Amino acid sequence: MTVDPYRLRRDFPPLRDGRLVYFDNACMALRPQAVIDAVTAYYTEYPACGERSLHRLGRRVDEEVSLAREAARRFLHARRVEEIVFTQNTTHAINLVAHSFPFAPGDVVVTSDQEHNSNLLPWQQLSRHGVEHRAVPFGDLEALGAALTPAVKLVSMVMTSNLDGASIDARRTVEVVHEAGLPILLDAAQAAPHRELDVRSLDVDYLACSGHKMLGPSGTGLLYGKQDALARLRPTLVGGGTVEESTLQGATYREGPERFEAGLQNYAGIVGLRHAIEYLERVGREAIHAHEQRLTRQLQAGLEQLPNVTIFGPAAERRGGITSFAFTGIDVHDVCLLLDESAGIAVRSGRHCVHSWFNAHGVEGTVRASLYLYNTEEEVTAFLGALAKVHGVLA
Amino acid sequence: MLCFLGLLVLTILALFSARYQPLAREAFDCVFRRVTLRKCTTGLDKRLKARVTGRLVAVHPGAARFLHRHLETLAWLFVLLVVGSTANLGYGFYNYYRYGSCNGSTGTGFCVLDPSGTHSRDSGLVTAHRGETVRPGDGGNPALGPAGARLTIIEFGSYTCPSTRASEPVVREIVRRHADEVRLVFRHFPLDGLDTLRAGVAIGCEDSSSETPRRAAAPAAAPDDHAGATRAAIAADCAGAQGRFWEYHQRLATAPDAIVTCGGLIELARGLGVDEAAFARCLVDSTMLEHVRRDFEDGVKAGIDRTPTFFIDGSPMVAPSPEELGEAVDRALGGHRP
Repeated sequence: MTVDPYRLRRDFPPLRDGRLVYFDNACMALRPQAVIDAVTAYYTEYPACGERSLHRLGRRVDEEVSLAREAARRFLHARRVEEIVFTQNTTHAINLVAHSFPFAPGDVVVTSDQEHNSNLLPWQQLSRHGVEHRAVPFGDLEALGAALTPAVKLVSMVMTSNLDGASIDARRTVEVVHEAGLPILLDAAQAAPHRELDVRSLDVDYLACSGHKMLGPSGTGLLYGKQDALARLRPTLVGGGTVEESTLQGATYREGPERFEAGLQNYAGIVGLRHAIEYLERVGREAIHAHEQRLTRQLQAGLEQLPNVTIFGPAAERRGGITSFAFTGIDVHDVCLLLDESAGIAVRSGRHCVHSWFNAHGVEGTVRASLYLYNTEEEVTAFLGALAKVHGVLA
Repeated sequence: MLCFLGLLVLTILALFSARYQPLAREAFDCVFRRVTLRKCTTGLDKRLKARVTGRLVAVHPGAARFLHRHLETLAWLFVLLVVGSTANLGYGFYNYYRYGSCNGSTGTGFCVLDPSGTHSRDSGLVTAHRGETVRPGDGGNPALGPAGARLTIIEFGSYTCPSTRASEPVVREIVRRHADEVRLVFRHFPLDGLDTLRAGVAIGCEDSSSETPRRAAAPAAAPDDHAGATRAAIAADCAGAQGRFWEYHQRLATAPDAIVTCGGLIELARGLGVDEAAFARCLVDSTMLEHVRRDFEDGVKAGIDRTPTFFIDGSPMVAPSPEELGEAVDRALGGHRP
């Protein structure tokens, strides 16, 4: 199966007039009309509460949420829908685990040294409770194995770095962690939208991803947890929808994922997320990955022709759709702004919420071009042409 | 400096739309940081620079390169221009308040605050006096009030000047109020006078039967509105030669329109008990012209370029309001109004 971006582009309203070159997909993907229509349908046809109201609108919401949870289960190849928790995004999902995991003072959490703030700060916050955070070099399984001392209680790793598109060997990483008898959480924010993910095959304990990076609405995300792994978590954000029963003295919490979904949910987003998942399923994530790699090779080859450029991360063959680069002596924000103003090209500049890596390596920032299923070779060519002009202006 | 410019523009935009308020706050933060010698970290300056130069990148990379590199310098220049023009605007407001014209005491250009020019107290004359000013005396002119008065007010005026004409009842009232203490001397500063008097040209009443049109007699370089001012001054002196200066002066000053034609001036003298034939002859008497010239030149030496200018206790006041004039007289008399 191959991706036909020219056909797909017709589904994405911002791309229809051909004036936008959108290369900021690692931050936020565009949404197809089907997702927009699904969100609109919620507000126009059944804008009601889920799991509470017995009227027909409420029942319709319950049905749609069930369909969305089933779609998410299918998307991640989870065993049961009970293993799928709806969250606001990856950050929310990781925080949910961080603050619900039964840590004790003296416990240690291990991450890589190239983590998004969302997979760094929650663990640093736990120092208030005596939990220590340690970092090992990104992708270094030997260092990871050596770091798994008895004090370590959880490993949390990014699967694909949002900084440079490099991916860890997720399967081997899970194996190393499990060999030490520890659970592992994978941050799949940049992986799930672009590659086929099979949580059963990976045998991962927890996995987090965002809806808005995979064609879904903003404010949607998923936390996968093996049933026993979820059972270990103690809900910290509680309220309506999380309990079976409550008295003035206490409450009986639900067994399913709903105990982590406090309050009324983002039903419109959840419904839209289902349609995003179905869209990706129709296109095929492995086809998307192959398409992105082809474009990334073209992009990287073009970048290498420009003077004084540094490309961060591995070779094109070993990365997904994310390419980070910088020019010596040129401010990355100037590049980003001029690409936008001069050619309507949207890229990201700065530290991409991985400040810790930039500070550790003494790098000011990078320009990040991140591709997705609707990007084309012509867009990459246009990007390289515009970039050469911008470089000429700024050099 | 880009942020400073941004602050100016965005603050104005933010007054009309909340959309621009965050940007205005960013600009303020940026400017505040710069003023406190810290680096601007908002990135607003970069965004503004990109917005300005971005469009040029595709069509004229060379120009884009130049603009991107030197935009800060250009912004400095622009800010200096803004500061300069703001200061100039303030000066214009000051001039309008002080002289009734944005252009000050000697400017004659268009004033946006007073397009019709009706409020201008500007004579339009440039006397080009150089050197130290000389405090003027009474020039032997007719005086109103006791010879031994404590205070002598010397007024330089022109009968074609609306402000001079408007001040006449005010001055007369002050003299009446301080009848024992104030003496008024009126000296001529005809606003068409510079060229007329210096050239020694005929004033146009040689054939007193002709009605010289008011504007036709204007000297080439003199302000048209004041054509005939010298003729009116001579007429006042001619009335004075027959002991009727102040009566004639009052008539000239209070006539609904400035009277400057020979026929009009002769007509105005009727009923004052003057010898009309002698009055008409006097109008072409070069002695009278010499007297007016002397007044005018004393005025120039005193630094005058607009009327009315009052010297009260030696201090000049240009076209003061009635209140200002009254207060100045009270101050000079060292006491309160009776």
